[in-house]
Formats: sequence, C-alpha cells, structure tokens
Amino acid sequence: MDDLLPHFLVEGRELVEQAHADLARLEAAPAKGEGVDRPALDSLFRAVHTLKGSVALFAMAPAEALLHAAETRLDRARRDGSAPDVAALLAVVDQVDRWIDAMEADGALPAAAGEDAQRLIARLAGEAAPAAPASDAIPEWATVLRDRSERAAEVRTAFRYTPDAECFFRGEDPLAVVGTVPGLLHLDMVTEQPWPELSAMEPFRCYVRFEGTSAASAEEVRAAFRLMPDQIEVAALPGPADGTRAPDTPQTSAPGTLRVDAVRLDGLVERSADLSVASRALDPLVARAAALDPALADALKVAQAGIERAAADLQQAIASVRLVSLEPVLRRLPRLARDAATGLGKAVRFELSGERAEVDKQVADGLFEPLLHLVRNAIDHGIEPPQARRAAGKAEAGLLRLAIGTEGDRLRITLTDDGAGMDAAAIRRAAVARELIGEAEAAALDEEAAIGLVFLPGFSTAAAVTDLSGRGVGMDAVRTAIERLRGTIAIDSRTGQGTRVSVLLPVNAIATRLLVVTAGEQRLGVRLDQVSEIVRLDSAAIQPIGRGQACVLRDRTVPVLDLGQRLGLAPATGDHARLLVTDGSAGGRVALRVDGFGERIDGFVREKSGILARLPAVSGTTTLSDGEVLLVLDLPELLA
Amino acid sequence: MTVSMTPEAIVLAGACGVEEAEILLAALLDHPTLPVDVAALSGAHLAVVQVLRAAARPLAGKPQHPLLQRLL
Repeated sequence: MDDLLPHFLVEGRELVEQAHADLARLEAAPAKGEGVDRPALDSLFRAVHTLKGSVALFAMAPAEALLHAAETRLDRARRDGSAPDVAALLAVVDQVDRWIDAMEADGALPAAAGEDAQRLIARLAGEAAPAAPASDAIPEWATVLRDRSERAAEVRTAFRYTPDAECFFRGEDPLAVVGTVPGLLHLDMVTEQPWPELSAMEPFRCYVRFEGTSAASAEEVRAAFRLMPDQIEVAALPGPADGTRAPDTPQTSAPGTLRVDAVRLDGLVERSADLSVASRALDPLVARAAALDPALADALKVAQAGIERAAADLQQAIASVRLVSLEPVLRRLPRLARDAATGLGKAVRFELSGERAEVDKQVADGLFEPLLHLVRNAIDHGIEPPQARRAAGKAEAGLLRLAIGTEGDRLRITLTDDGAGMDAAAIRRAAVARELIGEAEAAALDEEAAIGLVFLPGFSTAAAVTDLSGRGVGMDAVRTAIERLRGTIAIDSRTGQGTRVSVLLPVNAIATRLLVVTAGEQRLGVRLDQVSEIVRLDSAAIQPIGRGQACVLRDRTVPVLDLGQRLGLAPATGDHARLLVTDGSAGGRVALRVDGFGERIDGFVREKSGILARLPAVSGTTTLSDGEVLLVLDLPELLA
Repeated sequence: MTVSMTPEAIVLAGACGVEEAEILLAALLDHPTLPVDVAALSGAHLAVVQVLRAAARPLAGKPQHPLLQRLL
C-alpha cells in the first residue's frame, strides 16, 4: 500500500480543502439569513464520503470511524434539513487533516488517535437530535442512495443488485447488466468485506454489490434485471418531499486532468529552451547563404521565423502548464493558524482571499514554509492575548487576513493582522543588544528601516522563546526563501494597530529577463528583476569613502562595488562608469560597477549543477544564440 | 491479448473479457509497483474491474467507457 500513500496525501488534502470550503459556505449561509446551503451540504457530504473511502486504504481506522460518524450526521442533515454543527464538523475535518500530516511524517496515526476520534464522535452525537421516525414504506437505503446522487431531484428509482458469488461461472457479467439500466444517475460498487489481498484474491469470484439510482421508472429498471430477479431490489421514490428545494448545481463533466511528474515537465522546459537556442544557430547560416544565393537566404529566413514562432508558442504553452493554483499550498494555513492560536490561548479569525491565483509551480512550492512562518509570527508576536485586546477596545479574536492578487506578471501577497504592531524602538534595542548593529547606527535608522532589522540573521525579540516561533527560523529565513523565488518582502507596521507584510513574487519563473554585462573581460548574465536601475556617470563622481567607494544617486549616498574585483577579476577602468544599482541587504541600495552593458535577452536559467554548484554568487547558466554558455549571477548572494 | 506490459505500466487495451482477470491479477502480483494504464480500455468484464479495485494501483489515463470511468 506504500506506493499509494503519495496519491492519498495529495487527494486527501484536496478533499479536506473541499470540505473546508463547503463548511465556510455552510457557516456563511445562516449569517446571511438563508437556510442551509444545500449545494454546500451535498458537496461536503461527498467530500467526507470520498475521504472515508480513501482513509480505509490505510491503517487509519480511527479516521474512518470519525468520518463515518460525520457522514451519518451529514446524511441526516440532508434528509431532514436540520442544520449541522459547523464547528463540530470543522473540528472533524481539521483532525483528519492533522492525521494526514501524521501519515506523511510518520506513516502512522499518533497513539491518541483513537481517543481523539471518540471525543469528536461524541461531540458530533451530542448535538444530534433524535432521528425522525420513518414516515413511509420507502426503505432507508433507497433514500440514502437518492440523496447521494448528483442529480437527486431527477431520481425516480433506486436499486440494489447483489450478484451471487458464482455468477461469473454462469457467463454473467453484472457490469454489462448494470450498463443496461435506463436513465442511470448514480452507481456505487460496494463490497461487504474489505477487498482481499491480491495474493488471496479469486479472480472469478464476484465480491461486489451495485447500488444505484435511475431517472427511469421502477418497472423499466426492473426490466433490466429480469434475468436475475432473486438478486435485485428495486424501490420507487417520490420526488423530494420538500418542493422548495433548489435544484442541485448542474454537474459539468469533470475536466480531464492528468497528474504529471514535475521532473518530466522540467525536462520539457529544458527541451523547449534547447529548441529556441538551436533555431538561433540558423542566424549565421542565413548570413552565409545570403552571400551565395539571396533567394535561398530569404526562404531560409522565412523558415527560421516559423520555427522561432513555434518555439515561442511552445514555451508559452509550457509556462502556462507550469502555472498552478496557490490553493493547495494555502489550504492548510487556516487550520494551522487555528492550531497555533489555540496553543497560545489566543483566538484568531483567518481570512483568505485570492487563493486561486496561479503562479509558476516553482514559486508555489517554495511559498508554504515562509508563509506559514509569517502567519505563526503574526499570531505569536502580533495578535495580543484576549484580555489585552479587550482592554485595547478590540474584538477578542484577532483578525489575520491573507490576500493574494496578481499585478501584471507579479504576484502580491499581503498578510495583515490587527495586533499590537511592531515596536521600532524595541527592535532597535534588541538589534543593538545582539550586536547586529551599532547603537549610533541603530538610532540613525528611520522607523521603516528599524523594522527592517528583523530580517537580519540572528534577530529575535520574543521575550520568551515560545513553542511556536522559537524554532530557530527567523525572519531572515523567510526573506531568504522569498528571495530564492526572486521575490521581495516588506513590512509596514503601526504600533497598536497591526502589521502588514507584503511579498512580491514573479508569476512566471521560466523565461528570465537577463542583462548581459561585461566585467573583467568576462560576459556575465544578471537578472533584470534584481536590478533596480542602470546608471552611466562620470568616474569622477565616484568618491572614496573610508575603505570603499560611493556615489550620490537621487540625493542618496550609495556604496559602489566593482563587480570584476568582487569576482576576483580585473576592476573596471575608464572615465565613464557603468553602474548596476541593486537592493543590497538590510534594505540599502548598492551600485555595482561593470565594464559595459550588452544585450537584454530572455534566457532560460538552468539551475547550477556540478562544479558550478560550489560557486556562491552564481545562480545558474544560460545558453546564448551562438552556443556560448553565460554564467548568471545572483546579486543578493554576491552582496551578502 | 488485451493485457500487455511496458517498462512503465501494465497496459489494458480494448475490451477485457472475464478470462483477462486472471492474467491481470498475475501481472499485478509480478509487478507490485507498476501503475495500470487504462487509457485504451474500451470495456471490461466485472471480474477485471474487481481486480483493479482490489489492487488499488494508480491508474494512468481514463478508460473510454463511461461506466468504467465511474467505477475506476
């Protein structure tokens, strides 16, 4: 079963996510003065039902029992219209989510799982009203089946077909029989016992029973089973008793999706990059052909343009395939936020918006850890304990809002809390106490820059190291993670009112805008998104300051470093200085002097590997049209 | 032959009759980690479907028959 676990982890979490979304809708409906949100209830039922089936494949018996209890409760809500206890169900789904995490981490449920399940089952049962008495002769299994059907309103007949175990030897195929049922709406294939181990399986023994519903009449359904009357139960169902019930959302056929290993996709990216490089190799050939036969050269040029267009289209198509929704990444955050708050005796309301925004897979994959850390930080250090909030005239539950939006080809993530805010003076003191910065230097920083000190390695202001944030991962790790994704992070905080953390990330990570520069007679690539400005000025404007050099840009003194020298090559000379301005660490700007600027290209930066992996300031390589391999620099790393 | 092997998967193609259940079961037992490619599966006897369900192997592709799509 081990090879199934990775699939379960993905699908189980998707179902948990679906359940969370449905619960949010159920919770919202009464607030808006509406009754129970029926489509949400149906969707939640299906998610819980499917999840129950999934956990049954693993050693997760407490989860199965708990989900069964939740399913039963939801089934009753669907039948009698009673409002289910959303909080109790949320606790169930959160618990299952935690167990999925445990399965991933340990391959087994924690020892207390059985007790946790019993407690939650009791909680679900505690609010359960006595079941409505059976009102008529319709068997319960039939109504359950109707309610389980996607288009419940159309159901006229339910059937239960139990082929006998030896039927295959008589030449029967129960599946073919079921296929003749007219107006089939829903079909379950169920087994009385769990599936046998493959090695113990008898391939010609029938293990299953079919249960389904149809839009056809009972007589028409019975006719399909006329050859096996002893194996079939058919029940006619009246329409739903409650005529006001909204029709279920029409079920669009599930779009054909395919899970593809990311490594294969990356291979495709590389291959497509090779294609555009190969087509650019035609340039010199076209030039040579032009000297011999201009007509041939023209024809070649047209053909080359066609190849390049196709290669560009291909790259775009691949880039869009790599775009994934952020939802799976963010799905666990609300639950983890609730867990974190509970552990600290705080109450938190977590609002998430824009989570369907799409971003390159590489970016999505790298986002969870830093975001989780930001959320935990906000709960730990931002949101005050309930008494303090009450005293400050705030609602007892802190509000944490995570908003995602796209701005052109950038993704903006904003995490806002209404907590105590950050105390710039305390941060200055802490940074000085930890010898991260001199006292005078700290005093000279404005509010914003002082708050930026939290990004320095080794910084932490927590008076007590809490269970939550005291894990040796500070804001510097968050910043590093964001910068690795070629993003930026900024904090804006008001004492007493709260904090806003803004993260800006590229949506597409494949094609990278590069600037070719020369330094120490080497051609090097620089990511344009790491360059804030390109400046040409008179060399005389660069003044020696202390042991370094600096120039004044926009009324601000900016340190100037020589890129060639920095890399152990010859320094730039001449009367005209060419500077790349970039955001250095600690928020200040830094100018890098180079010999010259070359072309701007869209390059596919390959991760550094082999011997290059040991070069700290290199982020990878790209191939130019003439086949030359260009080293691409990582400026923040170079300046760190 | 509607049950065949590739290095990456056990491949089911066309309409799989009742007798294929045993062949499929043997293939699954011989190759305990291979997924089953059902993209070209146009129909299957319940015996074959049972073996697939009991094996709970990852499936590649989607079978063509709507009834099989529901059950697999």
